[in-house]
Amino acid sequence: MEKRGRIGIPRALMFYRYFPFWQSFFETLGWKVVVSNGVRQKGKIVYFEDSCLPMKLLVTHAIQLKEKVDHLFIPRLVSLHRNYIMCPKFRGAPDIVRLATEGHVPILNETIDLREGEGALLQSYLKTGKRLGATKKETKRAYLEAKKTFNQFQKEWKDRINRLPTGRLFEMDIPTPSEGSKASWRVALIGHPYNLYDADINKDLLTLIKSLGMEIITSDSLSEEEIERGVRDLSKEIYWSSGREIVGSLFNFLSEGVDGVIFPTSFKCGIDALLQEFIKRRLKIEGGPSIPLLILSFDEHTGREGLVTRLEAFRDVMEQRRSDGQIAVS
Amino acid sequence: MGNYLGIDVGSITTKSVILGQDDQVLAKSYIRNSGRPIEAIQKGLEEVLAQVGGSISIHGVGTTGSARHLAAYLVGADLIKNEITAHAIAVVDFLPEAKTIIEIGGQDSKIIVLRNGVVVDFGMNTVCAAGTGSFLDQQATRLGISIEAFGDLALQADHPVRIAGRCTVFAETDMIHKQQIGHSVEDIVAGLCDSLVKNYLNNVGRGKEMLSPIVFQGGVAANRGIQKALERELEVSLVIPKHFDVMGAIGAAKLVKRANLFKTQFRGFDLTQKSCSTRGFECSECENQCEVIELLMNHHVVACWGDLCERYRHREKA
Repeated sequence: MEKRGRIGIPRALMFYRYFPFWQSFFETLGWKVVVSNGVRQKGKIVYFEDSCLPMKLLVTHAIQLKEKVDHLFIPRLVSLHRNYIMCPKFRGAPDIVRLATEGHVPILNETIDLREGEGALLQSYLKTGKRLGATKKETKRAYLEAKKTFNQFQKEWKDRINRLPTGRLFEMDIPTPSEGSKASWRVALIGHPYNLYDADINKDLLTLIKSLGMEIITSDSLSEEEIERGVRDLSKEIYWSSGREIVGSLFNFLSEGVDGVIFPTSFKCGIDALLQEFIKRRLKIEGGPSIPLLILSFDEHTGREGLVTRLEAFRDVMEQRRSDGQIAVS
Repeated sequence: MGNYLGIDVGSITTKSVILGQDDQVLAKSYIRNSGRPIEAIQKGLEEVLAQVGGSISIHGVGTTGSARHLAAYLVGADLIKNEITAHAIAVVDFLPEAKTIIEIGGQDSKIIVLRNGVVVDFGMNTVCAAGTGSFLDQQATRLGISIEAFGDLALQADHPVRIAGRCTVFAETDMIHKQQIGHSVEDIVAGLCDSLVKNYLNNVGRGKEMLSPIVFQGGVAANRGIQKALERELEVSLVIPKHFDVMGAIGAAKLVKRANLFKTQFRGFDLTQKSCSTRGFECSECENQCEVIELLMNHHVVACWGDLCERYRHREKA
């Protein structure tokens, strides 16, 4: 089919969860999807205000794309879950990008606010489809196709994250490998998806974790009920949807089945700052974590050494727990 | 059996020890890197060798500290271990019932939580070096006093001043202000000790259970002002090991001893006579754009690292 034009998707923020959905949606509608490359080691990060690193990266990626595409896709994410809401920066993201790209490129910025119910998601995509000149029927078909792709992707996630290089996790034309080497440890990774999977933020934490013999599991492999169980007994509902997911999955992982939990955070993130404090206090009441918990704080450092030291020490702590005080010396 | 060498290369100083048959410290060296870690390692080896009379057989070498990989390639180490584990090992043998380790070094500060001789939790300072030795060092220079005299000066204070401790830049501004008002150097120095300790407890120690016995080590443990300030805040007296300044190196040596090596990789003490240097280049083979480092000894490349894909480090073996 003749491509209608190019949609640019910045490799930032919720790209690291919903890209398979977005790509499938636009491609089914006959558009070509173009993704930015990232800053890697030598690239410059664009500063527009004293924001968190993930938000600075969104702007950097959007600027990279602005000359190459007909539209940028940056949905206005207000709520992705019942009465939980997203950080206000997500709400402002399309506007921030519009300022930073100086109106060079139209932005598809329809609001996604699921406090109005799950049906609001389709409504939002119908508006996006309309802006791209698609009929309601075409858009609905693309939406269902995207949903199917996304569900399949989530099913394969555990294999993808453990067996593919970090840069390939979201490349949908790369098939999911089914076999891999056996890891010694099962480690849960919790946090905002972009902090977990963006190598520009976390200096490729995933590769490092895997090289130390750890198998990764994430909240994606928990059911909605399991996450809910983790937050059900809190005296007050957590306001943020990411916070609910992080705390809900943490308490689930701590109670069963993993050797350790790693929580990468953004230095400037208000939600992460509150969650860290909350988690530490909650664990203190319960008499300390039942399994090793490592909280990592990321900003614009380029050095990896501090990260390596913490992860190696974390591995040693898990090792000593398992072998009754012995540390591997080989 | 045998003698073991431990080297701990931190951000500010390099520590080397030789442990004898019964784990006794036969020689130890503590020197500043002055930004040249390779020379510091060579000098450290020279110093420990001189202390044992110019000749000793070494059965294994362990390295630790933030430049442990560099040190390992340079000397030919048998074991490379992170400094958290190395410090813990040294303490567990020294004081098996220890429950907490406070380690404050040049740019890193750590807390290690031990239960029944096993590390169960640890923490390190996060994005800044507030509350570490290099901050004290800078301020001592600013006040024109030696870092060695710093701690004892703090003990002579009558009315320690309060100095903002959240951030070293704030602390410095605040300190200059106190000087200009006319507070005595002793009171300012004591105030700095208090602010460093508060910073440590609020950042590194936050949320950690600090049970006694608490062992205090690292270069800053030499500072009696800091020790007293910590004891005041924690309301408990601290245990300071005799070799507090080289505990990481001792841990590395003990760990390598446990490995029961058949043969050591150690390049030998004549390493100190060789010309050693490193050079780096950026690989453009893939998107990782690794910064690859080569180690040269007498102008030959003897080791190579930094390549995520390991293409260069295997080249030398081929």
